[in-house]
Amino acid sequence: MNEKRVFMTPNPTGPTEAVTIDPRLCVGCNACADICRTQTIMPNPVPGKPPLVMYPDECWYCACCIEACRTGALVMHLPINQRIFFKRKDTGEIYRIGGQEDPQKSYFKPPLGHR
Amino acid sequence: MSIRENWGDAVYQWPYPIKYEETTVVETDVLVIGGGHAGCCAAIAAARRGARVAVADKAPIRRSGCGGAGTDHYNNLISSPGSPITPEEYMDLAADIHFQGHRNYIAIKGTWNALMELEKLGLNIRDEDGDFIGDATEDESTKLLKGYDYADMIAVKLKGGHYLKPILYEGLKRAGCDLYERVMITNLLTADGQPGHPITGAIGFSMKTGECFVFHAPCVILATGYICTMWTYNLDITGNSYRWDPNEIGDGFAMAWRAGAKSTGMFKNGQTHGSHPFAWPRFGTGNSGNTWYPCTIVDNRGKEIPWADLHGNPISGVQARNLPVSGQPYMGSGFDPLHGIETPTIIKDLPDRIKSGEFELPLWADLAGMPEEERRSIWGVMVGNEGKSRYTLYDLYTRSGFDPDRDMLMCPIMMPEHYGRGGGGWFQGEAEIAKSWRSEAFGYQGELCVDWDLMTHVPGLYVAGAASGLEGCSLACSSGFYAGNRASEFARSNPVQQLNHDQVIRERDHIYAPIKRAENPSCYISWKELWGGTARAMQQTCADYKTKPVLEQGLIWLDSIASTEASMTYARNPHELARVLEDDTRLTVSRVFMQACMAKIDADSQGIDIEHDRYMINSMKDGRFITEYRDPRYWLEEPESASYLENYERHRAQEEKEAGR
Repeated sequence: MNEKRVFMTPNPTGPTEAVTIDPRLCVGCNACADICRTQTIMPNPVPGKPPLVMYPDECWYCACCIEACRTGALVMHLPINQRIFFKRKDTGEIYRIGGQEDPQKSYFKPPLGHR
Repeated sequence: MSIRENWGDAVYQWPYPIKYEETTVVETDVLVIGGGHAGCCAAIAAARRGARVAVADKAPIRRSGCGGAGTDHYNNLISSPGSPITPEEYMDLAADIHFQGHRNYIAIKGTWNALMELEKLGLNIRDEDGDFIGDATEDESTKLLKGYDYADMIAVKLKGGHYLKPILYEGLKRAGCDLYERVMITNLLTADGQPGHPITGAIGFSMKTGECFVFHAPCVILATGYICTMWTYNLDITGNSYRWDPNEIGDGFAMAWRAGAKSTGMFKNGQTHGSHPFAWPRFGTGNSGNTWYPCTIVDNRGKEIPWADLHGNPISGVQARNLPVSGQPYMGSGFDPLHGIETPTIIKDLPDRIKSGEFELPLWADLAGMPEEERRSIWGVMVGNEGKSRYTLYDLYTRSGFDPDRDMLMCPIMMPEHYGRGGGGWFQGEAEIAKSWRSEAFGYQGELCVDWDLMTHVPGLYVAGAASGLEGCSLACSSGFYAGNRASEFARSNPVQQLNHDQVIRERDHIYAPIKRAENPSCYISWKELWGGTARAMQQTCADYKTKPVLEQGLIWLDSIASTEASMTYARNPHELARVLEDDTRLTVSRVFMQACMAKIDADSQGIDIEHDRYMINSMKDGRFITEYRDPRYWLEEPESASYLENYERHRAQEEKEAGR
């Protein structure tokens, strides 16, 4: 740990990471960068490498990048100030979207009209 | 890759070749600026009539625009066979509503035909899979899913709404339109380079390569969406709660204004009632309105909040929420401007009953307690197809364990009195956090003036969709088809005039100035800082309390910023260049807002009622802000006919003739 070089960089942006790209799943096709309306995701200047989440502060959270990814390499993260509560009606248990204590996913139906 | 993995030892090169010195000239008949719902429909219509059409958009058109990620409702179906009234009767009911009536008539008159066009293009609008057979929402003969009002057909839930933009995109390509994606148009070009002269095209640049694009065309259709972000600097708060596409700044209004177009209603600004950038994800909290209509709301102890009809009479049962009461022709969608066309809502005296302790906060939307078909409709159709909810809510919430069959979603916690805002039932977060904003009055929030062809006062410059004050998928598509047809007819009979060389050079220099300034150490202002600076001027001087001295101070403020910090901005790549040039839009449009507010104060002092009796029309001439007044319903005066229908048919006569109708 002591051997690690230390750098100074500009501060992180408001929503720290709108989208995460898993480099193990990404094939570097840039479909996410190509569909992004705000250039939040930019192609990597090294061809074939995963794109860069360059401007997360400009993300609209439309998630068109998630839809465009063929390998499931992208995960979108709601910012903390956008994570609301839900309550299980029969037990009264309360959870928060994205919370560590959340229940297991139990709803798997696709939206109607989904293709 | 995440920027978090960049520990300071990597600088990334711009991934596209840079061509600031290159200029491409595109000859075309019709240039459409903005490729959202309105722009796509306009382009398809013009191309089908034989025009060469180019579409320029700051974003990739397949998913660009406010509705680019999806759409839940298709509203304003006054022209549908299932509407209880005709568009002409609608205009009679709307006689005292202060909006550009001809523009609204054109839009609502075409909504049904536009929906049929969208279906022909490939949009799934019917319940072909039989998910709702026998349910009150489904129209038995057409298999369309009625929204809000189940006794009439004035809105349709779009089961395939998520795919509308990709379908329009394919339609554009099939129609042979030339697409210029990630091209930002910065200004219009006019004959002799003079404002108010006929359109000769537009100029802009590529947000990938930085190269300049000059479009030479007799006709331009502005489909650039809303004016946004004048008061609010919101980037570091997050764009998720923000309803409008971040590319919507007001570029279209700004360039039209500079080109000599006239505007009306720009004095209308005030407090927001919901869609503000400090709020929750849109549709992402418990609600009983809009996408979540008619969801039951319970208080923190599980006690159901009662509902009442528009007269305040209590109604019981979920089914009654979707039926008009006697005395109203239909119940509308909750956003209708007509008096007496309102949906039932949760009780309007809820604020008092919260304060008295009868109901306890927080409130919860009881999706689990809704009848099964309504839950499928709200969660499966509406949340599942609306753009800003398909993934961020439908997928992310259920991944977090949210189960619509078992769970209730929390409503935002607000001051009790704010639960009665906006007609009740639509909550998006404490409204006091975000103050001044744009008025959201239906179709009259301040916009460009148009004639019966949807053409502005600049010959050859048309407007469609939210850029012309026509918000929402149905009005955008309908006005888009109409404007595209009129523009193609204009292009046939009006050959394009020469480009003014000096104007092109001047605009080119203007575009690239922030790139050149980047090497100057004294030019240290980022696009973000300038945005924050102009927003501060608007927050303080164009706020709820408006006086002429305060507004005059505001103009001095904006002028000072324009001559100082705005000439110190820099851009290091084409992305930053676009954002800096959007700051130009903010300076132009903010000024119009302030000047229109001052003109309203003058009108008030002269006893001229511009909110009911007269229209205030504004424009810029020789550097001066001009105010003129028009009669109410001036669009039905000579040389136009006094009948909406006659005018509409006259202006569409050529189109009908060519279609053999």
